Amino acid sequence: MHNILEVRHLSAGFSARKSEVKAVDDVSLLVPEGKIVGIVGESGCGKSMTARAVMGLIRYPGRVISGSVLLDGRELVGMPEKEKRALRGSKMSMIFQEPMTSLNPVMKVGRQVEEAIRIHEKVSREEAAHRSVEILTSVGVPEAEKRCLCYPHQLSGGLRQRVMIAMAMILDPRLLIADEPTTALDVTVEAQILQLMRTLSSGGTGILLISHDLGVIAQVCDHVYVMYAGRIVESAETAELFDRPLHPYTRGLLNSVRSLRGGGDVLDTIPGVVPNLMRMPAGCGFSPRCLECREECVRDVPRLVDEGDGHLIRCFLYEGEAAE
Amino acid sequence: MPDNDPFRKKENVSGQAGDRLPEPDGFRSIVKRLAGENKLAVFSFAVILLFVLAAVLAPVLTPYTEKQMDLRHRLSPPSPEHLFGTDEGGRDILTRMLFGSRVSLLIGVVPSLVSMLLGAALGIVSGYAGGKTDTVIMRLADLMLAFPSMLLAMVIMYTLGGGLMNIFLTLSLVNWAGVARVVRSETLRIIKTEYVEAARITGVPGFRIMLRHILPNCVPTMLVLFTLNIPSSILTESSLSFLGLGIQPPDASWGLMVNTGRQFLYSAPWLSLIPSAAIMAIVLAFNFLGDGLADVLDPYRKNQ
Amino acid sequence: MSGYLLEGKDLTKEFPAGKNKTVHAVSKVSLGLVEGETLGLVGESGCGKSTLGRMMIRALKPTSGEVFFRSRPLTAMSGKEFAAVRRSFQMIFQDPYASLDPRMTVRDLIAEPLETHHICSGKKEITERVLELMDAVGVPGDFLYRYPHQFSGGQRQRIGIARAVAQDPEVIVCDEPVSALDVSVQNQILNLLSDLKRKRTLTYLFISHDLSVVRHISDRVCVMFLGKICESGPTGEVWAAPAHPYTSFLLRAVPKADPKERTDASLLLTGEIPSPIDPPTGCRFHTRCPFAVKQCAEEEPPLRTRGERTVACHFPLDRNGT
Repeated sequence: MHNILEVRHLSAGFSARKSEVKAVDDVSLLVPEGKIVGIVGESGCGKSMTARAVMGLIRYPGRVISGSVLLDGRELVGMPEKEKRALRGSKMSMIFQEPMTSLNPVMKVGRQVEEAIRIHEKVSREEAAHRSVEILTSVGVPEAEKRCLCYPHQLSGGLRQRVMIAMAMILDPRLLIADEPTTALDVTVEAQILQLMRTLSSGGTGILLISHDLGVIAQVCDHVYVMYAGRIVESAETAELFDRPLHPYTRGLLNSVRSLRGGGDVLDTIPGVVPNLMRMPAGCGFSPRCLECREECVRDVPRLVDEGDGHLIRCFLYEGEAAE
Repeated sequence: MPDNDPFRKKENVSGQAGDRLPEPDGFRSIVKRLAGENKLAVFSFAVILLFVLAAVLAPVLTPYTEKQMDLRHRLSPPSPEHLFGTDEGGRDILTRMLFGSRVSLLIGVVPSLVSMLLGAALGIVSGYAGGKTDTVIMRLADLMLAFPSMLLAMVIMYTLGGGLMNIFLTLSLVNWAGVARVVRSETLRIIKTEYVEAARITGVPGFRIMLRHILPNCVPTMLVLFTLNIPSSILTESSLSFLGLGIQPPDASWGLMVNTGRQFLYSAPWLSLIPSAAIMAIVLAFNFLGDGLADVLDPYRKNQ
Repeated sequence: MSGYLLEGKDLTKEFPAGKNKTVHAVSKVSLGLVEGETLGLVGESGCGKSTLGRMMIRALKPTSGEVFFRSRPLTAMSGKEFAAVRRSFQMIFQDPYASLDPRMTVRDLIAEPLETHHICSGKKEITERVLELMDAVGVPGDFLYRYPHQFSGGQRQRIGIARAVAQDPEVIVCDEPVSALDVSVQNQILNLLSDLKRKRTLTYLFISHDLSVVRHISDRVCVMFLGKICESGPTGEVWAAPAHPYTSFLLRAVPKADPKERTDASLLLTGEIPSPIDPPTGCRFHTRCPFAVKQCAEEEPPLRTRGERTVACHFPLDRNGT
């Protein structure tokens, strides 16, 4: 299958007090056409930084340290800003967690969508207005003409997120990056937005969905990358990953999922806290919290090895096996 | 940063007294950190100290007195006898600078401090109490701000007469309103935070909330306002003096010297440039010191 | 006499919202907490659950209605009388980044309730108590003089909890205490809350939008929609067989962490939550309810009790759906 996005050995980070902090360390991932690929991880695991690196939106003092990002076969790392800007919106776009901060609060919603169209295409005002109503309707905004005359704060969170998605989808980009698109929304609305994501991907758009919520990932993703402390620790088809989680972190994460049916009195937990970027452990990032931590885990970083069927895992528990 | 994993270290948790407890930050460590982190602030502090010392030791430092005229050497440029030259009355400028710094430093600092404290107190009360109290205090502040401050100062000075104490009073009265406005809006922001709500739910009395939660969180803003008020106070004093309401010649103040020197700006520029430079130096010094203090008092930068 | 420790009766809260408009945040809601239980309060944003929680401990004055604590009217008490019982109430907040004063050390933060209620005096004694509390919530005593920003979200929430239990309250309102935390840390905090409840005989009013959290922690649950309670009962029963259509859709919408159990799009609620400024007539849910008939739009359904469960719906669902 054709891969819309190919990230190879990407490292990104920033310099702080004479030392380099790697927020993203050697990340490789693929987003095929028409698929939803998830990155799951907790705060500070580097998932948002990865997304920003792909979009070329890392702000100073952050920067891409090494690696390559291929969008439809074109190298984005090192591409002049002007060319990248042309790609953003037309070939790739991004939506964020809080749509309110991404919309201009003093401009009517319709105008904002029109502007977005007119930035990339030379069309008349009327044409743009017509198109914006059309696209808003297509992402499920009811009574789109009326909503066009609203200011962002007059819309609910769910509608605002739909407006953002509409703006991102105007030029039918090949790649949509969604950074926690439903975290700020209510459950009933979240389910609707996730449904919309599925519809978009079935139209051929490749979606990179970033979330901390395993539920969201399980619901819509075809393939999942698990990130921890800046590295990908596990990667597999969604069904495979939830069926057969290998990495102690993934297992811990899945164990700590609470069921609606209730369960034992004491919830399973992963001990400890997420490591701070400035103080990453030397070896495996998860080693300080890992119950199966061994000597080499503290010392060295394990390699990402294939456990069969493209199920990749970065853990010493499996490295030996794979070699044999 | 605390250790990444407090749970592994359970054994060392000090639950009982008798264990060695960590010490709170004392005054000393604050000074140490200031010295360690912000060289500019320390330098500024040294500059301020130097000015203060010079002001105190003025009579010892110079062979002249500030009122001693020497009409034969009027407007003489800087020379070994008169390091900064002389003015239109042949008085030694360095001497006048030294004596003038007594007045100017006091005028810069005292009214700024008074207006800041007064403004902060009124601003916090106004924002916290709301309702009628707020309306009364804020309308009063509006009145102060709407009234041309120079005119107000003149009115007060005419009524009370000249003199250092009255200048202090005048400048404090003129400046508090701006501080109160800014502090009030800070207070309104802080009041909405969850930590103030938490304190309220706990039952912490209003006065304590203002003192322990709101005031400390206003300090950085107040420091900025304080340093901004210093130059304006020094300059307002000079204008008042120029109008014959503040310090009167032959007494010296920096503001007065800048003002009288203006007439000789082309023929004898040192007359106003030297006191101007001094004002600039002291203002910058207070600014940097204020910045440094704000940094050190900022918990986000502590213990890192 | 009711058997409730804390009981709210017909609580209503309205906020002015510009010209002649009112936000009906909570409308005539009654709620009772039995001593020692955890009552979950569930609903989506803007349903009034936080407002209701705050009114229950007099952190917010109701527009009308009354709250009783041990059958004494809390809302009618004078400031002085309330000060005497205030110690019995505390709150844990959602955002551990905003609920701790950034300019206070951990010691001062936890000491504040101790000092306010004169639980102990003298610097040394207070510090000792603070250390005990830190130990109880799992924050190492070495961090006594650290500032909140130096901790991770989970640790901050632990500090917030230590602060809340310091004055030995009877009722704690937990307002979304884990929703701002990392997934792997949420369970730690939930376990800590359960643990403290067992050890200190606390009663929780647990506000959350996360149905799985509520399922785990609460004995009984109240589901709110737009300022009204639409269903309540023992959590297990309600979750297993919701009687109100809203509860049922809510439960179905939760994204389950199992790729084999993907939500069927046809079972989703459409539309958005109506505005609390101008709530729908009759049953407030009728505009989104697929089962709504004319009666739902005209008549407000009363809260009907069936055993331990109550539901406000003209046509409650039976065990197998409609």
